Amino acid sequence: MHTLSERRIDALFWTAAVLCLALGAGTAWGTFRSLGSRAARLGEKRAELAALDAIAHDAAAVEQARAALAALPQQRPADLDAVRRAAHSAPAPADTRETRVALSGGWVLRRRELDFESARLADVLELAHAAERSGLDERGAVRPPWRLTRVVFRGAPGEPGRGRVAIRLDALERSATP
Amino acid sequence: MTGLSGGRAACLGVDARDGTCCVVRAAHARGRVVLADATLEAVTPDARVAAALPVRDAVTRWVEAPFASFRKTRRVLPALLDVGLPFALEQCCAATAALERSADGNARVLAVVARHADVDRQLDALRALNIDPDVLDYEGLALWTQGLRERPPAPKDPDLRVVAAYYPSRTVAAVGRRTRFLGAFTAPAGDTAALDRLLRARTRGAPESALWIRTGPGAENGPGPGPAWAGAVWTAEHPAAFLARALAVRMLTPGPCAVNLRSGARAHPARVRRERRATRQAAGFVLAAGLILLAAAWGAGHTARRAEAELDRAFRARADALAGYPVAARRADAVRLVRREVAARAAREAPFGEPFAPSLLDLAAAAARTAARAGLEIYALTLGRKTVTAEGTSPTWEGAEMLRNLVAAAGYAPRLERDEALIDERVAFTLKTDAHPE
Repeated sequence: MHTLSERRIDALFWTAAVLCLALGAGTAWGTFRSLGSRAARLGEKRAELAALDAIAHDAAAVEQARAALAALPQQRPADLDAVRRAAHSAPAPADTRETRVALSGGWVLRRRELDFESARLADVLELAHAAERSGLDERGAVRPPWRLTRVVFRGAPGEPGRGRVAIRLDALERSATP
Repeated sequence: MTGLSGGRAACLGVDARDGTCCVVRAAHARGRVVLADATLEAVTPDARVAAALPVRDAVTRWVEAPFASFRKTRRVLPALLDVGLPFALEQCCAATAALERSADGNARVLAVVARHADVDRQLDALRALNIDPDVLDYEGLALWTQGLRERPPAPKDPDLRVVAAYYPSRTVAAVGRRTRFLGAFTAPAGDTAALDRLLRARTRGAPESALWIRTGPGAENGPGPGPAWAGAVWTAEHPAAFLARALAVRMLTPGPCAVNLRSGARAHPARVRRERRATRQAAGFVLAAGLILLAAAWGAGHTARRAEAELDRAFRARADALAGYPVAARRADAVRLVRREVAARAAREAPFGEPFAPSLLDLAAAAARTAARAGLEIYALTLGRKTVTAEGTSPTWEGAEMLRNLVAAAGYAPRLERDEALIDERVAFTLKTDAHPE
């Protein structure tokens, strides 16, 4: 038969068990309820992190380009006047302007604009082609190339393919150690 | 007030009286109750044994409570019983044996009451035979329920049922209508007049047709019902072991009519230990369930918090790296700020991508070739990274469309417009593009 102390122990044990169950059920219910909102918040945060990843992906393209340029043996573009002189059919420009824009990491954007009063568009494009090839030799790319970034042509009446031509060539140059 | 608790172990029913002892073993086998004869040697200290308190040592009362709850009725049973008992309730043990509803929905319970002295005397008599029963059942109810079990009511049976157990010294009868127990009594063996009188007292009416179930060692030769009670007679198989069977089955498969008058201070120590163990085991399960719930809740919460903290850490690290300085803004604001910073930087550093972008030279050369092939006369042509414009004349509209297709293939979105017709019948056109998507 149960003695008083055994009954007391049983009662204590049951009380502890029921309290534990109630606490566990309450905590589980609270957690279950909070998990719903937490899951939604986690979803939002994952989406925000994915947005940052997408931004990082776009930014990485610039870094890759900078790294590729930095890896070239020479970081100065070819002399454009020398290129023009080497191309025998290239017309002489009536006007030449160059601007420089400082970029990060010691790089500079060189922008050369050439105006031709009366030239064949094909000859001017031939000059641009030579300028773009000036960064290459038989081993491949050795220096930053000139790139044609703008062409404006005003045709002369009755002379197809000839007229006033303006072109813009851009190249990057590393002027100094950053 | 204690009912029988169930159990999977085999049970022994012992019918010990008049110097004889009948033992039956009941056990579960494949979902059925299997009975077997046994001897007193089977009644070991470990065995689960049920014995009976004779009918003469207990009284039964149908008690109606003024409310519907059976639980509450059980709780107040002593108060409900106190009025109708011939002895003080403090000297008695009581048990509820059956439940039903009255016509007005109140709870009605069948109470079995026995004096402690009678219970002790029966236990002493059993101990003298080395029998220490776990359960002290009530003989009258045991006979009644076993009668229902072995001879269920049939549609053509009389309403009144009498389960009579014939012993050498007396006859015990349990009386009821259909399945409802009315009461039990004992009469001297062979005294049909006493039997008749006691039966009238239980049925409270004139004699009527009854189903007479004969059991006990003297079932074959015992006196039948008087002519007034004659209806149908059915003799149980192995009638001498009927009560022992009833006790074993009732202990093995306790139902609402199960009774244990050995309760409270008189409860069997082994039974008390079993019950205590079961109680503590149940409490242990409850405790374990609580702990599992707590651990699961804590684990789930911790996992979710850690996942969120790691996301926050990764987000901050990436935002700081992209912006180039520690970003104080949070979440969507931080994304907007970083996007703005990166866009501004990308605009500043766009020239770094220029050497790797497709050359305008290809488009310019192709445009010059197309113009020559289609006979176009270009007045004005502007090629840029973002826009292309062209004005000129063509011998046919298809020639202008060739130029438009060329520009479209380079990734621009050109619009070709037809200008006013000229005197020389050439088609004048203007080509413009929207800003290049880059």
